[in-house]
Amino acid sequence: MTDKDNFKEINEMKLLSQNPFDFDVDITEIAEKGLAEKSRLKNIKDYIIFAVLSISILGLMAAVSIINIKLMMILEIIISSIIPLSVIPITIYKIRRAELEN
Amino acid sequence: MEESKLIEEAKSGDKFALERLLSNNYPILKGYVIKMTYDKELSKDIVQETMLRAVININKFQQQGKFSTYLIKIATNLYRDHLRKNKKAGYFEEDLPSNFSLENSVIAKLKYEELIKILMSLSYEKRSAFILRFYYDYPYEDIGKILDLKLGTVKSRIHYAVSYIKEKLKED
Repeated sequence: MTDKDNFKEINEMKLLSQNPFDFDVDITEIAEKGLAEKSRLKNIKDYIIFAVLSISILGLMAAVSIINIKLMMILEIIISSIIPLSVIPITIYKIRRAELEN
Repeated sequence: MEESKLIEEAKSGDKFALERLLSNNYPILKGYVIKMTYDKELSKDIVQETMLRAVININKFQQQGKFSTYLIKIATNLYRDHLRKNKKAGYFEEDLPSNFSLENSVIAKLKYEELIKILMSLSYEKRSAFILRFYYDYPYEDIGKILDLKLGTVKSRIHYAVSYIKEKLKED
């Protein structure tokens, strides 16, 4: 005999299919609260990534400047020209995509 | 609209899809939590917290299973945490509302209270497996996923629960 058959024998337990009490929750409020919390957590995550990256880059630059000041200058020139060329188009793309989704 | 489509839209931050997804799965979540706790306030708190966590972590949801399974898993974890914190798994008679009428029958109400006592005297692990299997028709595999248990453990817990309930009912 399977558990299912076994359970069928316990007819009394079917009584518990009914809930003894009822309550309602505001689903709209929960969805709004959840989305706000999700966005807050995402901002915190982005900030932490930004801080960690900044500290790493500054640390790297400091290390390079100690080793060779000329190399540091070359690095600065490369970074100052590459970063705007990559960051600006990515930012514009993200903004456009967000506008299209909305 | 299909559940998978709703989930996809909810993941991209669509509030209406999210609301619909939660509304569609609200009755099953509520029924499960009520059966697990038999405490109105606790049930309400767990249902609210479950839905909130589900919204926050919706991007982690894998679309292989049903959304209700995901909600039930969160609710089970929340209830387990509650029991650990409070060390109370008890059901009190006063938890059952005095105006609760089952087919307006006193005998039925008394029977209902007895059945709840039996169900609540099972450990929450066995109770949840039992409820999922017999009130929501979940297959053993899904119950294993929800409760993080091996198939054999699920089967043995359910088997134990059924035998225990039958025995208790015979005693009465």
